[in-house]
Amino acid sequence: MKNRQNIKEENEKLSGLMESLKDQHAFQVPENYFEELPASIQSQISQLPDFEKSAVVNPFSVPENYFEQLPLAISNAVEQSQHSGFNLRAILGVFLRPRVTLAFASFVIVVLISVRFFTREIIITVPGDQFTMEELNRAASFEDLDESDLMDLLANQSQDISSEDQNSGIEQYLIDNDIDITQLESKL
Amino acid sequence: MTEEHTDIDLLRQFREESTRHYAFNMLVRKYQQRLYWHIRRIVIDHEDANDIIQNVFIKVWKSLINFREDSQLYTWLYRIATNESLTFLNQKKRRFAIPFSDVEHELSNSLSSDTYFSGEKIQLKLQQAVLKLPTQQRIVFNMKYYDGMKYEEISAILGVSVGGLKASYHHAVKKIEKYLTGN
Repeated sequence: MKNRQNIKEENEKLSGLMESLKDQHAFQVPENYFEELPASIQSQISQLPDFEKSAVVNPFSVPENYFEQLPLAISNAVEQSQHSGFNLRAILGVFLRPRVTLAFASFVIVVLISVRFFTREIIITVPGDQFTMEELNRAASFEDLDESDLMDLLANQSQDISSEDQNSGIEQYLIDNDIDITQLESKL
Repeated sequence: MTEEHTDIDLLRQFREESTRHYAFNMLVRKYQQRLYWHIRRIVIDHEDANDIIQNVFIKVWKSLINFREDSQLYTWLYRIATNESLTFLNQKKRRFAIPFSDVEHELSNSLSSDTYFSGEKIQLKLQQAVLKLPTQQRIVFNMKYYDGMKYEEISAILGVSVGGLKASYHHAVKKIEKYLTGN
């Protein structure tokens, strides 16, 4: 009580207004709130499930006549399970698992990449004017070539040239070197 | 009518080739509802529960001949039903690559649109609260609260100690109450 008196005196010293407002209620409640509150609480309590087992309600239900028809459905299912040699549903179930699907997809991707890698065509284009003959001769690929490879290469190249181009080249050569074709024929 | 058949009677008749189908039919009729509701409370959806109960009884048909009578038949049936339901939820989780808690969140959302679910708001809230529990706690709560099973029976089915089950149920009830009063 003494302490309370001290606080009151301190408040009055600090602010007379605050002390005068202290006993007024700033918050209000609806009309008859406290009269109706006990009944409202009681109503909410009665709606709470009774964990002491006096009123357990099953909120779930089943289709009409479900339990009358279930034994027959089970009997049919048992019958089917006895006749089916392999369980397609179970096999499909395994493949529908995300881990299995992911592993399978990864395997397919690896196979596709491998096939693409090992069957690709390697095309190397070498611009001739950027290398000197010495550089080309030093190149390992030239050292590896044997005579028969070169013969094959030249034979293939000559096949690619059309006969018309070949003839015009020969004519130009004869004209440039002033060679008489009749003299060649007589020598042959 | 079906209540007259004891488990021992049913097992004896099942072992006889001539009465096997009859005994199995009686067994289905005797346990179908208890097992169905147990499964339904775990997987929530009726169609899923229907698939699972059929699978459960197919397994029972295949394995009953080897059933050893050192445990009770209904304990064995409940164990199969629980395992099948949990396997189903696991498959659902793996199929959609989502965490287990999200499967139960999805189940909770599906409740409001379920044709075979009571439209009462308080029941919906209770089920949503139950679905927020960890799976093991949820199963324990269902078996104790809805099925009225003894801790010893639940212990035999789930293979969890009675003390662990009591703690589990206590925590479940507290969490559900907190959810209901907080919402």
